[in-house]
Amino acid sequence: MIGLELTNTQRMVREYAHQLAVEEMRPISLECDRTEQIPEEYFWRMKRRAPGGTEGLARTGRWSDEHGEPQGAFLSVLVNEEMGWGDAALSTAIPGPGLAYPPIRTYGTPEQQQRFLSIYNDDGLHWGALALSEPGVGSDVASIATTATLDGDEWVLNGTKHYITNGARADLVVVFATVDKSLGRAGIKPFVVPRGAPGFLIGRIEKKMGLRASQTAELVFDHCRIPKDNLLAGSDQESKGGFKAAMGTLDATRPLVGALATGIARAAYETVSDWVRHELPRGYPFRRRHLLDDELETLGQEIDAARLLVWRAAWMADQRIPNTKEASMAKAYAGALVMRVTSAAVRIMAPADPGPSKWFVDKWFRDAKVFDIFEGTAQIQRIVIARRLFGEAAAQE
Amino acid sequence: MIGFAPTAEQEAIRDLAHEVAVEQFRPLARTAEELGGIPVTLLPVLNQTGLADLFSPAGVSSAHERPGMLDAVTLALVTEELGFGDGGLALALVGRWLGSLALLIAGTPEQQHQPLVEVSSAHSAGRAVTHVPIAVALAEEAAGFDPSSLDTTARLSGPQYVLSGTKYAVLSGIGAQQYIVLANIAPELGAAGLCLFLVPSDVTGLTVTHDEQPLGLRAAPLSRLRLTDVRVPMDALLGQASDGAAATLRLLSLYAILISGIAVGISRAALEYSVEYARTRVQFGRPIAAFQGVAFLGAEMAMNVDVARLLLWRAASTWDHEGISGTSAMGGGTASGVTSWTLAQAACRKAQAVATQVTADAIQILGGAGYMEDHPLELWMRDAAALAALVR
Repeated sequence: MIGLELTNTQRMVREYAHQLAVEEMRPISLECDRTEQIPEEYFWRMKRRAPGGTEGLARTGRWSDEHGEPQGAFLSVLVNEEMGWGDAALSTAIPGPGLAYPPIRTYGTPEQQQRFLSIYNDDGLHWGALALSEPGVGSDVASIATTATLDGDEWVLNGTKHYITNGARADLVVVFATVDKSLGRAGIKPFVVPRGAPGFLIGRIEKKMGLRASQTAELVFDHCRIPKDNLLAGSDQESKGGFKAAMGTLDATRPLVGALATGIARAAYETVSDWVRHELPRGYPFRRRHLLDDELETLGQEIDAARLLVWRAAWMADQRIPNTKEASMAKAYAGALVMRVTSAAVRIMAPADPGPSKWFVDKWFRDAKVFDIFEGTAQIQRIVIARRLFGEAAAQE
Repeated sequence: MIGFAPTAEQEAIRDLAHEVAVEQFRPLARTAEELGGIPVTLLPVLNQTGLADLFSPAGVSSAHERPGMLDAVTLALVTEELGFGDGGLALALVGRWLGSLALLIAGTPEQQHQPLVEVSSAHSAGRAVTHVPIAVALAEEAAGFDPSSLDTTARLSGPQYVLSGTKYAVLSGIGAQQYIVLANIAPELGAAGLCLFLVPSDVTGLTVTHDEQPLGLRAAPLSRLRLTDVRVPMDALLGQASDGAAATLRLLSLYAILISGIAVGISRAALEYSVEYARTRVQFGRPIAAFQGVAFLGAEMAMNVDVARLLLWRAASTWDHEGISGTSAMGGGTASGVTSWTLAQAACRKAQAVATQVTADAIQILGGAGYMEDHPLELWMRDAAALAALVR
C-alpha cells in the first residue's frame, strides 16, 4: 500500500514533539548558541517530558499503535524533524543513552543491556556517547587506530577519539577500538567505557561554527582499563565484528540526521516566508519580488522531497527491509537541502531589521553546514548510493 | 585590447596588498571580529602603505603617483588580495576609501579638497578603529541599488535641497563627521535623476543607528540612516546637477567592483586552503584529493572562482574604458551597449554567490575539522554569507 497520510497516533507524537520544541527549546535557543552553555533546568525538564530522549519518545508505551504495526523508526523521524525545527544542538543534549543506544541494544547480551541501560531509567541526569572518529580517522572508519588489548580480566584501551557528542558528560561511551590491526575491519569491536574508568581522560571541548550548544569533546584513552565483559559480546557473532556494528548503527541514525536537517530547513523556510509576506520593505522592486516568490516555492517543494526520503527510509527500517541506500539518500538530500534553504534565507533576509528572526536565520545557516559532514560526508553517502546503484561496477577508487 | 596578465606595475601593487593581507590581516582576523573594527595595531602599516586612505589628496603613498590614477582593474586586484587576507578588514578599508572616492569621481574641485583627517586612534573606540570621517550611504533596504526604486529623494525648496528617505548597509556610519548620500532628484526619470549630497552629521532630521550583523564581516560595522526633511545648501550637491547622474553611476559601479574583489579574495582563500588540505590529508591510504568526489568538487570551485574574477575584470575594464573614452555609463556604454554599472552589479551578485558556495565547499573538503574554529574556513563562510547585505 502506498499512502502518505499520518495516522492519529503519528500526528499526536509529532504534535507532542513540536510542543516541546516551542516551549523548551526556542525560548533558550539563541542564548545557548551564544554562550555554548545549557541551563541545567533544561535537562530536568526534557528528562521529564522526553524520557529516554527522542528515541524514547518514539518507543514509550504511551503511544499505542492503532494499526498494530511496528513504527518506532517512523515515529523517531517525526520527532526528530520537530527537534531540528526547535534546536538541533539542544536536542543532542536531551538526557538519554543517545547514540550509545543502538550498538548496546543490537550487540549487547540481555545482561549487558540491563547493566548498561538501566541507569537511564533512574532519577538522575544521564547521557551516553558513541566514539568512532579519531584525528586520523574520519571517513576511513576501517582504519581505526585506538587499540584494545586483553590483560587478565580487563581490556586496556589506548588512543584518542575526537568530535564526540556529549563525550564529556556521558555516563558511558561506546568506543570502537581494534583488538588486532592486522585483521582490518574484523578486528574492530565496540567497548563500553564508563565515565571515571582509570585512564579515561576528557580532552578539549571544541568551538564550532554552529550547533554551538552541543558538546563536542575529545576523549583520551591512556592505558584505560575496563572490565572484560564490557566488550559488547554480540558483535563477536558477526564475521566482520564490530565494524558491522558501527556501520549498522549508521543505517539507523542517517534517517534521523536527515530528519533533523529537514526540521532546520523548515524552520528557516517558515521564517523567511513570513518575513517576505509581512515585512518585505515597502518599495521592493516588483520584478525581484516575483523571483523571490518563485524561489521560495521551489524550496518549499524540496523540503517536502527531503521529508519523503526520510520517511521512506524510516518506514523500510520498521518493515525490516534493508535500507542502506535509502538511508544514505535521505541524509545526503536533506544535508544539501538545508544548506540551500538556509543560504537563501540569509541572502533574502539581509535587509531585515536586527532582531530574533534574523538571528535565528543566521544561526540555522551556521548549524546547517555540519549536516553534509557528520554521520558520513555528502561524498561518502554518494559512494554508498552509487555502489548499490551500479553494483560491482562502481568498484572502489 | 585583450589581455589576462597584470602589468608589472599592477603586480607590484598587488604584491604589496598581498603582503599586508597575509602578514597583517590573517593573524588579526579573529581579533578584528571580536573588536568590531580595525585593530589600532594595524594603523602604522595601513598609513605607511597608503592603504588607509587611497584616494585623498593627502593620503597617497609613494607607491602611487597621483590620487585618482588607480584604475578599476588595479583596484580589483588590490581588493582581491585584501579579501584574501580577511573580508571584514578589507571591507572596513573600502569603507574608509569611499568618501574620498565619491568626492574624486563626483565632486567639484572645491569639494574634492575637503580637509580629511588621516586615520588615527582618534577614530577608535578602544582598541579598534570603527569611525570614518565621511561615510557613504548608497544602498537601501527595498531598492538595493535599483535607481528607479530608490526611496531616498531630494527636492529643491528655495535655496536648499530637502532630502527624505532611508539608507542601509552604510559602512562605518556611526561617528562619521559627514555623509555622502545617494538620492534621486527626479524619480520619474529613473537613473537620470541620481545624485549625491554631502550631509553633515549634525543636521536636523538625520538619525543614524547601528545595524547589528553578527553573522560576519564584523570588523566593518554597518549603519542605517533615516533622513526626514533634511535641509542642505545648494553646494551640498556633489558635482554639477547636469552630469551628476553619470558620475553617480560611476561611483556605484566602482563600489560594486570593490565589493566583488573582496568576494573573489575570500573565495580564493577558501579554495587554496582546502586544496592544500586535500593534498596532505590521508584517508584510505591516499590523499583525499585522489578521490574524485573531492577532486571534482575542487575543480568546480576553481572554475567558479576564475569565472567570478573574469566577470569582475570585465566590469572593471569597462569602467576604465568608459573613463578614458568619456563614454557615459548612462546609456550607450561600450560598443555592445552594456554599461559598467550593469556589468558591475551582475559581477557583484555572482561573486557573492560564488563566495558562499566555495567557502561551504571548502569546509566540506576539510570535513569535521573545517567546522571547527581551529581553521579559518568557518569565519570565511560567515563573511561570504554576510556580503549579501551589501550586494543587491
